[in-house]
Amino acid sequence: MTGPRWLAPLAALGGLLVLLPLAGLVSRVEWSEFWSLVTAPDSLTALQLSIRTATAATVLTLLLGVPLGFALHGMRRGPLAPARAAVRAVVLAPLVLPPVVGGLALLSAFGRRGLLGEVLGGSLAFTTLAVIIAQAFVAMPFMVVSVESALVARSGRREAIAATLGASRTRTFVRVTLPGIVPALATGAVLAFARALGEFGATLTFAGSLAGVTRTAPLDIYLLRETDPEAAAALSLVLVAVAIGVVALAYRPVTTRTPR
Amino acid sequence: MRLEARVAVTSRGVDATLSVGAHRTLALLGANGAGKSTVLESLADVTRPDHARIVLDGQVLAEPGRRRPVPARRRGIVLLSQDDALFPMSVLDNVAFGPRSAGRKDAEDVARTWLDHVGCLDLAGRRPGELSGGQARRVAIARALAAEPRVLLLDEPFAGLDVEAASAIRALLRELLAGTTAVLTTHDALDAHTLADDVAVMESGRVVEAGPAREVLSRPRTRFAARMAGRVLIEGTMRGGRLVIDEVSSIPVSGGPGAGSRAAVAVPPASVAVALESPSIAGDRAWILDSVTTLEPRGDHVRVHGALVSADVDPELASELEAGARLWCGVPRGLDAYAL
Amino acid sequence: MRRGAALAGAAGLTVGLAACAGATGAAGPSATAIGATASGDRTLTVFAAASLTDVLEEIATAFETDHPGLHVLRSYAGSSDLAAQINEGAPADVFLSADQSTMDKIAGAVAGEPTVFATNTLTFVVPAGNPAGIADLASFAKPGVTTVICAPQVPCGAATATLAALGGVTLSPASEEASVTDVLGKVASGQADAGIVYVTDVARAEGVEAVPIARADAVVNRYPAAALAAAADAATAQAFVDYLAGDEARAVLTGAGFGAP
Repeated sequence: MTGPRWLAPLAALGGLLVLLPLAGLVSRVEWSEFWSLVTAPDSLTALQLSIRTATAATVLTLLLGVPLGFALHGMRRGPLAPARAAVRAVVLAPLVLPPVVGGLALLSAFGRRGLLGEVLGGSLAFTTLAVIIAQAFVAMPFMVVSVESALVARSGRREAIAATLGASRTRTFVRVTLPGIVPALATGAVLAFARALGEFGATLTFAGSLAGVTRTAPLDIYLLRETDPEAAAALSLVLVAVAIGVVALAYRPVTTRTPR
Repeated sequence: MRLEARVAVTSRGVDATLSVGAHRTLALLGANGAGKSTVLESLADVTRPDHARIVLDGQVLAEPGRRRPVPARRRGIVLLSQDDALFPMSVLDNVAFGPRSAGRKDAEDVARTWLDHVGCLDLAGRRPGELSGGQARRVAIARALAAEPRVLLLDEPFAGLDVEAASAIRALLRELLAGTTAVLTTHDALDAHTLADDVAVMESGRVVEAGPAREVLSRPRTRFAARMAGRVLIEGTMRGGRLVIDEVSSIPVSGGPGAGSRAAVAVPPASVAVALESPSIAGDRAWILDSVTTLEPRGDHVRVHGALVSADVDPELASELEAGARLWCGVPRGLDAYAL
Repeated sequence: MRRGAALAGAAGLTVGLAACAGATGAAGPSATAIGATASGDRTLTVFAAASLTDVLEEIATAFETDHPGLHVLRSYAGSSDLAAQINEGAPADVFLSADQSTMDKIAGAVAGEPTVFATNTLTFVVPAGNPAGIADLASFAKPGVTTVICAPQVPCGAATATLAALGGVTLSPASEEASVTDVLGKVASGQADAGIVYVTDVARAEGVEAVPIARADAVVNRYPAAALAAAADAATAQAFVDYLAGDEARAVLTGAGFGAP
């Protein structure tokens, strides 16, 4: 399909809009010092913390987001069907919520004075776990959407056939359904990981910023930006590289994927 | 393993009653959209019918008023679907799925035995995506049978296969279905003939005619059943060894009920001759004056449907016909007549 | 499914980018400042540290009254961000920095000598009622008390570190924030028992109260103002700087908690 010619200059502008800022970032990096900046103890601590927390958050979204995706899909029949669209909108809200709003929301739930404040007794505040919760909060929708849309695309026939063959629901779920949506789980996990890695606003608002505990790479960049712009640019470039890699991985051409 | 069932799925306009004798195979014969698959899915609890009474060998699986029907996994009714629906695991694991679900320790041996049976033992390590259509169907059959079903349901078992694969599977099923309680759906009278002991003809969600395959297919009692059996039903009244169709036409037949009774003959449209002018009375055919209602192109020939008879003619002749045209249909003399 | 996931993914990425943009955007020039050039014959553009927001509104309005036809365009952000913008050629006439070192960063763009027009000192900030009973540095540094301070990399954190050293205590905060605002937020929300910020910050915040730190005046933060070399109207720019050091502005600054230079 070829569009009209006048699309080309607009496409070029669109490309520039994305490329120029990235090019600008690259131009700010002191390449002679890049390696030493990125491997400086503070940077390494932040990057390691980011990877650890993002991994944990991804696992959390798998554990909770997959069942949530199933529940949402299950709602399409039965008495809750009319509420499905509303429930989905709420569950997916963190996807489009301003991050600071997410942080405030988390604060009012898990914070010292939050809904669960009495129960938790402030034990969550300023901990790595708080970072993971903030990241899982914003990353969860990716998993839910991935799982739900994968389930919608399935006819449910294999599950029905598995039942006629005598399989229990659990066995059908583990052996038939989950393997059938592995590509969706992988896509969801990769995107969730990327989102968790980039999480900033909710972490800043909810978890705080302490080296090695809650100061993830984005928070470190935020801090370095004022005092050491070169280091901030170098660290930013690392995150940009990760983001591009993740997107390339998650949206690789369909043909290379295993058939469902 | 006698299966008695009545299932109704309102949204699909299905309300069918059928019974399958122990160790017999029933063919549900009907056109696309007649509700055949819906009936099978209802029997297997793949589709939840609005109204169902299903009794298998005295055990009630579902009945109106019963709160929860017996779930699919406890029915012992296995559905072999048109799309095979193989699971994302090796061929061997697919076939072992049923026995494993039943907790059998020797599931893998059972699976190998069945794979051998369908001639696919060499494919044991493959994934479903690496199979041809015919291979996938064989594996699906092995998987269904390995679960030791009390009743096997086969939904259009030759759908989507090329001619060669279909005929190989047909031969395999003829062997495997012997002695199995089974229901298969088809729109092909030949399949019903070769694979089934009994036939139930479905039209618009209802079973309109049922009985032993030979009886239903050679002596259909309704125009629809005749059509599904690949025949045209010529109805009339018996009078002195002739079947009187109307004031103008009557044909000599053999057998049939006594004079004055309603009776019919069923004849393949291919064996009906057509003449545009009044044919000579002599010859081995009896002629019926008819008028064209519709012309149905069927590949290399055209089926001419008249008010009374249908006939297959070549396209050249068909081009001279149009709806309302008068024509003479010649049917063989001495056809087997039977009471309606 | 692919399509759905792809769309969702795209949406998520947009959000991710928006998040980052939001962070810098919040510190960038405020939108109100930009659209307001239409009225007024002359315009004076003032870049000011965010902590000056409230007082500068009042001072600028008064200055406008004294100079009919002049419109003072205000752009508030973190001092470092503003300094970076000025170095990149942003059209500012006057720069009000929250500390001397940031002013030094734009030394090349300054016309004449910067003038210190206000000072600020540190204070404890605690949730209303001071539930943890913070009274001095020792009680602030006590184990079990959740405290938040500025990271040592930023000016308020550097000042905090100096003050702690003077007091002979070692702080072990739960979080080291990148800005005073973030410290205040943690205390106001009750997440933290106490924090250390500037006196004027507490005056602006709600739901918190200040507890004075002994010897806080030993660590004074100075606010320098400077007319910039690129100013279109150098005289007016300098007049504004002089006005800041004058009595009228002083009264406003004192009222907001700022100290005299």
